[in-house]
Amino acid sequence: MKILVKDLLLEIGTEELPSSAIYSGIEQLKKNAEKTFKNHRVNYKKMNSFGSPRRIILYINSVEETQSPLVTKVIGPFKKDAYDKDDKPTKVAIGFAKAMGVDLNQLGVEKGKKRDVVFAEKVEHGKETINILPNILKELVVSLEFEKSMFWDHPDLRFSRPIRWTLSLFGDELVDFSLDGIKSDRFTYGHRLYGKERILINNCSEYFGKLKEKLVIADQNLRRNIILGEIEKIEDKKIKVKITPKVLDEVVNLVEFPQIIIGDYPEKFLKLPKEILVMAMQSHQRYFPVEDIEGNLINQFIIVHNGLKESEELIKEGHQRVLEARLEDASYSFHKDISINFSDRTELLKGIVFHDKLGSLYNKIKRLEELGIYLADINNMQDLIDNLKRTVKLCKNDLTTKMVGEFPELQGVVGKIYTDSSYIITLYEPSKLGGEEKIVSKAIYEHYLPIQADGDLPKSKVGSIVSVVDKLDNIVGMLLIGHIPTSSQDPHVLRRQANGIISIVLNIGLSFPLSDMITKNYKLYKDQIQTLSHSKKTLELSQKETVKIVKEFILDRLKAYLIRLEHPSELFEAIIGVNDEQIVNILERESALFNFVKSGNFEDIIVPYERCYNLSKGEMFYPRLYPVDDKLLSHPTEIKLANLIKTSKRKIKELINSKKYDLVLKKLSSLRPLVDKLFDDVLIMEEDLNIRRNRLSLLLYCVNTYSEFCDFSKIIHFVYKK
Amino acid sequence: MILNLHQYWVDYGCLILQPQDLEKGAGTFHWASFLRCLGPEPWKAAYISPSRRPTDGRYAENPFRMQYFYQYQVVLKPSPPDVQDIYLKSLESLGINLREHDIRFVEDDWESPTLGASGLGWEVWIDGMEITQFTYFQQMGSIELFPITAELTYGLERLAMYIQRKNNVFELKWNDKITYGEIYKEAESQWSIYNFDLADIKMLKKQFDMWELECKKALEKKLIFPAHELVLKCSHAFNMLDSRGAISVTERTNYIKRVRDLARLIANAYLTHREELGLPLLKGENIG
Repeated sequence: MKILVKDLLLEIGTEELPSSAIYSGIEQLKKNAEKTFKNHRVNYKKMNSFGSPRRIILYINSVEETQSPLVTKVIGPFKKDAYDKDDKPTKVAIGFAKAMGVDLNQLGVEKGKKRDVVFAEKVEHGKETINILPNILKELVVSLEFEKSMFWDHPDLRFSRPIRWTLSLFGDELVDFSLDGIKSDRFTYGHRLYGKERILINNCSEYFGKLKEKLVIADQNLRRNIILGEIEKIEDKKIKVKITPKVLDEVVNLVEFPQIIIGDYPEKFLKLPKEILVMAMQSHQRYFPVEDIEGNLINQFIIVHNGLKESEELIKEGHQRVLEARLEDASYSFHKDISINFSDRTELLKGIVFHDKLGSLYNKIKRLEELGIYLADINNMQDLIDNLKRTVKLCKNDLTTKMVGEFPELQGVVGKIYTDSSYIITLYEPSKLGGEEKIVSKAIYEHYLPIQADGDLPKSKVGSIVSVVDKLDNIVGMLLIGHIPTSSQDPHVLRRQANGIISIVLNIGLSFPLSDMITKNYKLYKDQIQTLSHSKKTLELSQKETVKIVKEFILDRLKAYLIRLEHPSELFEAIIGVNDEQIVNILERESALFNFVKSGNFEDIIVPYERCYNLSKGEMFYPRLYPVDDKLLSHPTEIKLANLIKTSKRKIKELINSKKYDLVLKKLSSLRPLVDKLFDDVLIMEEDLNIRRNRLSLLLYCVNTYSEFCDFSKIIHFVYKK
Repeated sequence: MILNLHQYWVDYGCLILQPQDLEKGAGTFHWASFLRCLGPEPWKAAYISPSRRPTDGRYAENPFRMQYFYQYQVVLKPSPPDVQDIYLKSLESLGINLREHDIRFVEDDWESPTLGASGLGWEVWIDGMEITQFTYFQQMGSIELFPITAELTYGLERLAMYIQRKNNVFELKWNDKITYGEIYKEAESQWSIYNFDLADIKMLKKQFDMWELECKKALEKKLIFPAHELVLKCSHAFNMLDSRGAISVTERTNYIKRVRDLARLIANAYLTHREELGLPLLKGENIG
């Protein structure tokens, strides 16, 4: 039998959706449709979803016109009851077949748990697809969820923006359903400029073509390609268009029929710092800046618009006016800003609240200075301290500028620009910008990095140190006043900041004991709070509690970091059983252990360890009280082992000090033959109490040697599965 | 421009109302929006709303930001299914030929923490210039709304800048002889100085406390309209304190909460009151 197929089209017509809702709608619609078509046993060839500001679309090619049949296997009576000795069906078989609606000869026999059983395959024939589509499609529309959704004039509907129509065709047949009064139909609507003129779609196949005639490119990828293609046409040997992916993603979904215009702006604005100009063009207006081959801006910009080609002159003029006003605004802020010495702004930080209970930003940079110096000291980076102090003094100053007030995303960037001497030289007008050391000006920018998960990290040591102490100071401060992130809420993005600390210390190999740093940070807060006039002079958490909570918080992020690398978290737990202070060190040990486990030789450590551990763990004595007594050792194997452990332990300590963790593990696994031999040759639980205790001491001595590296007792039963 | 808008919205069936003679941050604070969007009774109104946002002052040195400006506000409850088209036609009534322009509805979620209000909608752009704020109210006075009110807020200066092709508000022509700047620039600069540098902080804090107390008193007597005006006064005192930089972050949250609490009480009292009256506008259906 030939399987009949037709295309299926669903268009959810809306008022202008936010760009993010279009992307999310496209993704969900396809995902949900795949699931529900599978559940309903409707086969098809290819499924795609699309979206533009006024519609989200599902298009499925070659959908079968009937559902696949549903076959259910029903187990019936025992064979011995259903058939007699001559294999003739009994009443039992006849009754079962009748109940299942199948012929007697369609019954089958198979092996049951104890005896052979009879079964029937009940076949439910598929319904016609057109009959089940209305419900499927209706459910699909309702299944879409958005970050923010709203009510409009239909009390039972919620969506990102109002749904105004639905179009739904199966081939040329209308799929008839109603969403709280919005009835599906054969009509769609073109570009806004065509107003309410509706377009009749007779058959799915003519949908995209007819829309295009009315200036709608419904496929987001096509719109993106048109924009990129048009931009490519503009670019030549002299100019390049600076495309930020985030802006492009948005622009694609701000228009239904992309058109491109090059506008220009007065040349005088090119004197403004590039980053500021770019921000003025991109943020809010979503224009693309234009550069020359060397990456210098030229006074042109790209507008992606939604109007008609013949109106371009007027449209361009309008956009140019808007950009000019915005640049005028930025220029005004810039000139106000540079009339004040940048380094004088540090005083102004006294008036900016960091957090009401935790004082001002000025208080903050005082803490950062001490923490930064401490961190540089213990990492033998004393030569950086002058630049570090200068960076800390200036790093928050740009928060007092008008420019950052206008474009908050430029924090750090403005600080860099306003202190960078190479920039100031090119500025042909009097200013009070400070020409700082290159390293300082760069570090001011870097101390906010990474800006997003997996974003760029600070490259300089100064930038890294300031970034780490700033983030730690945020975490300690917020946690000690009880702002502890929950699984769903983390308004101060403390988790991301802890992740940032981890990435940075790994990146440049900074080491510091967590407890000491947190304690230091806590004390600095405590001392300052004494001097704050208006707040309660006490902190909500004690020093001990703070250290515990902050440390747990950071270790938790460390664990999450390893889980992202697909390392089993048990290994991490074993490591922090021995060392929970040094981030870099924890990760180095963990990585050695992980590689060791992966190499398949883990048994050589864990088997002997487990034997020693199990026997000795119950003993309530300490090796310090009962050290291994050489005189009580009698068997040659135990004498040999005692000697081996003694020399090995020393060697292992040395290797740990020089951070050669792979060798530590190698050394530990080399103990196996002799430990195994000990259990073969020697009876540990000797009747003589002194000998028994001495042998247990020897085992404990072994355990402690293993524990120099990590707490293996936490991973005795661990099995690595890839 | 205003006359055209009035004519257009009268023809549509709106009541043309007058501004409420009190300082307000936006047309939404007017009783015709704040109170009338509550409950099931239909409502269609249009009015001009002078708006004061002390923190937006720029000493008249910024080309389009001011602490005092005019909004043209339209509220339609329930929101008509073709409200976007109705709105676009109002632009045509101002002589704007839509086919010659790049019109866009750009996502904008509106929120007023002091009113306990929020809504979803857009900034409407014409050739890149934001000329209208278009919102479907979802919440007002911390009450979930249904039926939904559509609010259209035209920025009159922006619209005029667009029509007159100016990129500086003070260069707008008020008529053939006189500019917007000649009328308002001096005041704008003086108000900026007063709002940012002079207004007496102690007095403002005291005023806030007094208006708050007075508002609660009015509420006890179920005097909703006086209570509403008193909360507007609180709100303005708060805005002034904010622009004087006189309140810390936590204090700020606290002030906002105090205003929001009052707004919630007023909204609830209004709903109860209308129900006691038997929701009179529900019967008339057509109020225009």
